[in-house]
Amino acid sequence: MKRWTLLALLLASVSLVAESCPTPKVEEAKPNEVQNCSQPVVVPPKVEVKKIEVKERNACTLSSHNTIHFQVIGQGVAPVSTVSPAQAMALAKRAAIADAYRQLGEKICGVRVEGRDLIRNMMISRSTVRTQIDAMIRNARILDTKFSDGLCEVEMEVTVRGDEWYPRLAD
Amino acid sequence: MVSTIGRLIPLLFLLVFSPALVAGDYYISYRLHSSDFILVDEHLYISKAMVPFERENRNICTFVTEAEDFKTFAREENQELLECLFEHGVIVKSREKILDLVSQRESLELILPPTPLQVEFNDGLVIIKKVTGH
Repeated sequence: MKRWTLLALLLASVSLVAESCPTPKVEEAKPNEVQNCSQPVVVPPKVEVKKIEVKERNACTLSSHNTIHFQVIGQGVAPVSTVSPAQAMALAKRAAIADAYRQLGEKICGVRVEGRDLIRNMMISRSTVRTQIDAMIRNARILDTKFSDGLCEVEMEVTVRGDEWYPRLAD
Repeated sequence: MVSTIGRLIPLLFLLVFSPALVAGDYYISYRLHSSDFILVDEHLYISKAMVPFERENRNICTFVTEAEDFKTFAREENQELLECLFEHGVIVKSREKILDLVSQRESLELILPPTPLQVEFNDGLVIIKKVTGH
């Protein structure tokens, strides 16, 4: 009797051990895949998609959906022969405004540059550079005015809106 | 015997047409010359138009003033007036000469071309309108 009980216990334990072991899965090989273990496997890098942030305010190129701000600081000096400090300030401010307009003209419309070099006996004897600006400026705003030690500084800005100007300039 | 309505008619006429009576048509132009960051000379020219402007206009600026005519106002408040007019277009001409890498002469001109304006004085205010399509 003991023998039969021991045999039954042994069979039961064997069957439990056999159930606990996982059955190996056999994958079917795909017909198109060529398995070549000798060649190294090249893993392609993961492509990370990042959101590109476009700076709308200070973008260099005008498009239909951005705005460009041109900011300059013009400087002017009061003439020596002024009657009062108030007159000196007024005249210096006028000169500073003119200088600010010139700088805006440089930035927006560009500068014509002409250079001439005179060479004598294999040496430069005279070098001349002439610059010229011809511009028409509209919608310039004075942001700030400072006056100290006879020098007046005027901060000026021109705003070019893309939705207004891009269609005109692109044609 | 003049009736009350008869008295009121000239008064109403005056009230309705008084802004038109003090309005004036002018041409204004300006030229500034500066050299080496120092103002050399400037001229503001104001001329009353010989023929009234019939075209459309748009309001460009309004000032509070005690002056009674445009020439007096322009003489007293020329800085504010010019800043307002510059916003609607100014021509910049600059020339610079550099000899042997040393700046010799820098000349700058700011020009406001002759601009037609309609000016109205009304209740301590001066309303400046730019005539368009002129």
